[in-house]
Amino acid sequence: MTRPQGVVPSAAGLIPFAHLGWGYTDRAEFLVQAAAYIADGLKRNHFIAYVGEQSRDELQAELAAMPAIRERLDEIQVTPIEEHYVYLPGSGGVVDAERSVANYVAAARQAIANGYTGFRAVVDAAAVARTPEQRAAMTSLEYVVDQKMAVEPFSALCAYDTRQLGSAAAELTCLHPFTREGASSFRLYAQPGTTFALTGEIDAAIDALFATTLHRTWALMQDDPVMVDAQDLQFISHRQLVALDHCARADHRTIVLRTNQRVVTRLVGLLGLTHLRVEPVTDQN
Amino acid sequence: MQTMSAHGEGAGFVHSALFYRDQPEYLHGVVPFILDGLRKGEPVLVAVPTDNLALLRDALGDVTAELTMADLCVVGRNPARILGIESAFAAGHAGPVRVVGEPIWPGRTADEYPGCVQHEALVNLAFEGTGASVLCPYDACQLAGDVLADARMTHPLVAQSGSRGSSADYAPDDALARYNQPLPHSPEAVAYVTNTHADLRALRSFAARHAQWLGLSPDGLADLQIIATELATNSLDHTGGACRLALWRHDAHVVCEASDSGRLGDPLAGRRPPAGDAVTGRGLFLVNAMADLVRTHATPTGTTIQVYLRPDPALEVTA
Repeated sequence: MTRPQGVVPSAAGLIPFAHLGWGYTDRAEFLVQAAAYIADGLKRNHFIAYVGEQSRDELQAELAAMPAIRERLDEIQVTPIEEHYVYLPGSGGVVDAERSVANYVAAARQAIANGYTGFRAVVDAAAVARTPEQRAAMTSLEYVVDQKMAVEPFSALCAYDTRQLGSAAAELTCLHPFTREGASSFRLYAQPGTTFALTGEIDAAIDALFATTLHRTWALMQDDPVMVDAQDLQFISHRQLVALDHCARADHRTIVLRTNQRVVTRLVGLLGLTHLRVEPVTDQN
Repeated sequence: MQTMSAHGEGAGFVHSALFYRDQPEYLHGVVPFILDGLRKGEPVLVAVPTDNLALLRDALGDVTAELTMADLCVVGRNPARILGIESAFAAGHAGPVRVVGEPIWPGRTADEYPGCVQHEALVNLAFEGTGASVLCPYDACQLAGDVLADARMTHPLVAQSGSRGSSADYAPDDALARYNQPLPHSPEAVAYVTNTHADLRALRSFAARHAQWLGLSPDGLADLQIIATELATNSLDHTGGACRLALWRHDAHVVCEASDSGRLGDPLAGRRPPAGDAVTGRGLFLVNAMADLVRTHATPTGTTIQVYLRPDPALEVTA
């Protein structure tokens, strides 16, 4: 079954396990989204974790200011971000993606064992995404955790303060099946039955972002061929198709774009690409 | 602009026009050229219109299995695409190749014809220094005298009535200049200006919205969005300035025109397949391959490219 995805106006009213990437410039606006996401999780009997750069007291004060939440503060786990993730030793705040995701999975399973129907985190993550090294590590975390979220009962609202990160926030928001308008014109996320899904529009405006994302995630994709669900990819220009082909060729692998879009098939044929091919979507795949 | 050698010939390169008056003369000129190439072990591409392709198939019988054949009424409707087909064929073989190329036939439209002459002139530049032999048949009975005169300008050698000689009128640069003319516009055109890469999404929305109204099919709209994006990206990347994209209906086509303030310095841009490792430089090549017709007007202060698309491209056949 195709995993739901989309560009959404708010964090309210989404599917039970929606992984949402949310860039924001207004802290108050973020808190409104966080409140909606948490309230929805509480209603569904999810275990809730609230994580941010501030101290525990400051984070709790933020929750206490949320009208729908303040009555249930003691049901929410509040954690400063330096305690939430595991970090690479001596790295100055670069997350250890593998161990951090393992902790997420363990926490989600523990929540289920404790009678919850799921695990839901709200993480304000700019503090661990300020440098290129931090964002590369967070790319790994977001990519791998999304693969887990596609099959396990947990979800997250991952917020990135664009006043701090600027356009670099898109390097991380593009790794979520759900984003807000203007976050990134494309998204790369987990799709069961394939290596990942690619959706949105990819052209010269985000050539560098796409190349960075591909470079950072490629080593995490072990499949050969790398199967890409491109059925909802609205546009891709020839440069990114060539970049995908070069990436696969350099690693002696093949990428398969699964789509019924005639124009993508035509482009790949005209470009004479050797390590990228198009496969139609059928009931069987 | 690159200039061409005095005779359009490099090391062994031969580019001849063949003026024929009937089918026997056609076969008498073309068949020995093909068979001689095969005897020498030279791969042969036959790229001619539908009727003459059938004529050659009948005449050559089993030999056709040794040839690469392309119907130019199908894959060469856009004259700016033909050099890509011929160049790809040559690049696919190590040694000299032979090409029978007949880009001009009596059914060519006035819109298509300038591009055909440009193609013939550029064959000299594209194959200069190679061992290629290119023979271009012209129907001397049905084509106008002006067309044959142009052929004398674009071919260093002309064969007719069983003999071949140098063309005293050979001047391919002059032919290119003669057909580098301002292109017709439409007062009904709607336009969108792309100033930065961030405008490309809005450009595609604009193009799809208006082309749908002009009658383009869903497949045609998808093609147009690629073409509009490639043309605008090309302008932004190579001129640093804006690209004005206009759309209108012209007879049986939707026309997409991109204009910018750049100078198109390489007359072969987009006409040959890009190198295998190149990431850029493929935009115009793709546009030429996807369009029904591409017309260009280049000046030192600006370039205009018009792309003609049929409302329903589902019938297209790729090479």
